[in-house]
Amino acid sequence: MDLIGNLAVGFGVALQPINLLYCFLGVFIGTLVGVLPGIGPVAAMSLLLPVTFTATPEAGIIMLAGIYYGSMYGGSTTAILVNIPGEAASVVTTLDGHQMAKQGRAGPALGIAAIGSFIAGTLAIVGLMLVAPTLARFAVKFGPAEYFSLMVLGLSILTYLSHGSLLKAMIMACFGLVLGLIGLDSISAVARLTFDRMELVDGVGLVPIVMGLFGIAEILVNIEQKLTRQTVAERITGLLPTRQDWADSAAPLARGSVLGFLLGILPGGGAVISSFLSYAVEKRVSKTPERFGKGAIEGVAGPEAANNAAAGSGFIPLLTLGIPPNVVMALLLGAFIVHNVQPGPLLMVQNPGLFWGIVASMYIGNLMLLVLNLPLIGLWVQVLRVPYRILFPLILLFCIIGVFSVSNSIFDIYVMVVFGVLGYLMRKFGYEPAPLVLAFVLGPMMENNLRKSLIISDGSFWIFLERPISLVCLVLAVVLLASALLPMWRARRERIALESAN
Amino acid sequence: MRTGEILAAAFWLAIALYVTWAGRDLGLGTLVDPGPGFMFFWVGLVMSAFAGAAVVAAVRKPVAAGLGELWQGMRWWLVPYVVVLLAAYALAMPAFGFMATTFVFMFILFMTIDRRGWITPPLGAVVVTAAAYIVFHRMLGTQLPAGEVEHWLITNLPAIFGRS
Repeated sequence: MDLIGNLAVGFGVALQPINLLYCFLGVFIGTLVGVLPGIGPVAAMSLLLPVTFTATPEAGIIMLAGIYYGSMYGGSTTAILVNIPGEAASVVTTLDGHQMAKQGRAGPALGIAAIGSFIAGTLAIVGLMLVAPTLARFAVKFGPAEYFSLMVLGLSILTYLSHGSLLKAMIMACFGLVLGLIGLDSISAVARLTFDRMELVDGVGLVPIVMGLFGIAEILVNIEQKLTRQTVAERITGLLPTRQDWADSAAPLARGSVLGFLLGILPGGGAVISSFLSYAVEKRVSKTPERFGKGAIEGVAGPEAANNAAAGSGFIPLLTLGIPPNVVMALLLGAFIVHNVQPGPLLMVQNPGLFWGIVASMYIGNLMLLVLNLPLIGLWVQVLRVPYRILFPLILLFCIIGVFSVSNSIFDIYVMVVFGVLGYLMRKFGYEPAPLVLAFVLGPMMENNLRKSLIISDGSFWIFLERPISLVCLVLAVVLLASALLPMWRARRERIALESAN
Repeated sequence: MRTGEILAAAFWLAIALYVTWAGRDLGLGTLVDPGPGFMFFWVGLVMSAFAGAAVVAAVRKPVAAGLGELWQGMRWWLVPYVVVLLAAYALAMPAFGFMATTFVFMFILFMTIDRRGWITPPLGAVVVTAAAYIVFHRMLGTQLPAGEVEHWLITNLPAIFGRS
């Protein structure tokens, strides 16, 4: 009964005209950036973060959340039609989705991707609704030691799952922590690594770093190679999958939804990993694995369901623990803080309208996406025909305006350019930006909780081992990182990384 | 690629050592009352260990293709070109304002990278600048710098014309 009452409150908030408008804008822009290769949900959310400053917290967060799950939908369109994933979570969709398109079955591929995404997204929201209150009640018992250890675990999982070298991912995580600590010390008010620059007293901004590492770096990588795209030329008809398609897709959709939901909750997990794992699972359980990579609809249904379910469940750790499990959620945390709202176990109690409003808006947003995506696929195909030589100056300009508008500071543009160059070189030398950004956001929280724990325990590190939840998190983190050193596990991890990279 | 790996790892090692030194310089405090440099020092130390291991791992790799392989067949010169343009744009914006600087920036980009025809660059630059100004400044209320030159013109032109 409580749940229904809360949901009613949520729909009351989400159905307000202004929130509906922001939800629509979010899913529309999300689909657009998902369709466009070269600008992902992270860059788009950073760009539009300042736009939400004038809106209410509900409207702002609803729009940013819409961009995220909207981009999951949009990413599949480019993956299927052009063989270029609009964002990382759609990489595996290219394998069978584009093959289906080449065989004249682009319609059913797009249809199952959109309908499957809707089903998985909706299931994830139901799961979020059921799991979040329980987890929030449990999280109230968390002290600084538990929070610190949970963040260590989250960073460990993300570094473990990064592409390529674990060492490089760990270096990035450490560098992110350092960047996050720049500025005034919250206890002693000592300026740290500010190099006497007033602009650095409040720390380095999240938006310039993210825009540089993800937006500018992506453009620099793309412009040095001539991008050619091949869209599916023929008219796309018959979007609704056949009865046989449904029969083939039902089980992958269910498995993908469950897998994505579970992986999305894990700190460090997310849409990208879940889509890869779903593909691997579907290939393994299939009686005809040889069809995979040649246009098997299960290879589209499973991963698309998984990445959308993960996008939904990723909100659980952020809303209930206040800990972002991935980079996108880290940006959302930034948005919460900008609006003076602290996500965590008390959010549901102190701000039920916001919490349940976000949940309800996700139902509405998923429905909007279904209505948007099927009839508008023609429009997205047209968008894909915009040449990159015209697109990239526009993205550059959006990045500049987005960064400048956060604090009206030219200095932030320089920061963005520096991180753009750094991000470009990091890609060249195989360093992943994701652990850096997550560590950057977690850095101040980790330091705060570490210092609090040490003060509580009179300077004893045993506090982290005496508390069961903290101990479990630390043991898991150590086991995970140590396992990467064992030859058998290292080979397995490198294989996953290689498959992801390809 | 081995040279590149060594250079990259050495770069991170230098950063890590600096962070460790800076942490110590800021003050470690005690375990009961950690100082402002406590976290920097320990994170820097851990990062130094990882970066040191990365240097060793890179040195032990067999010598393969050189650093140039990373940019082989690429239009690498466009990268510094765009970076310099971006920096120049940021430098010029406070003086010349958003409109003038954006127009020039867009015009140069449309004109010099994969240009098709002579009409698109000026037309594209005008359309993009105007659209960005209307959408971001007028509709979304984003603050965009007017620039000293534009500010001077707004302040002085009426006076100049009034006098004449």
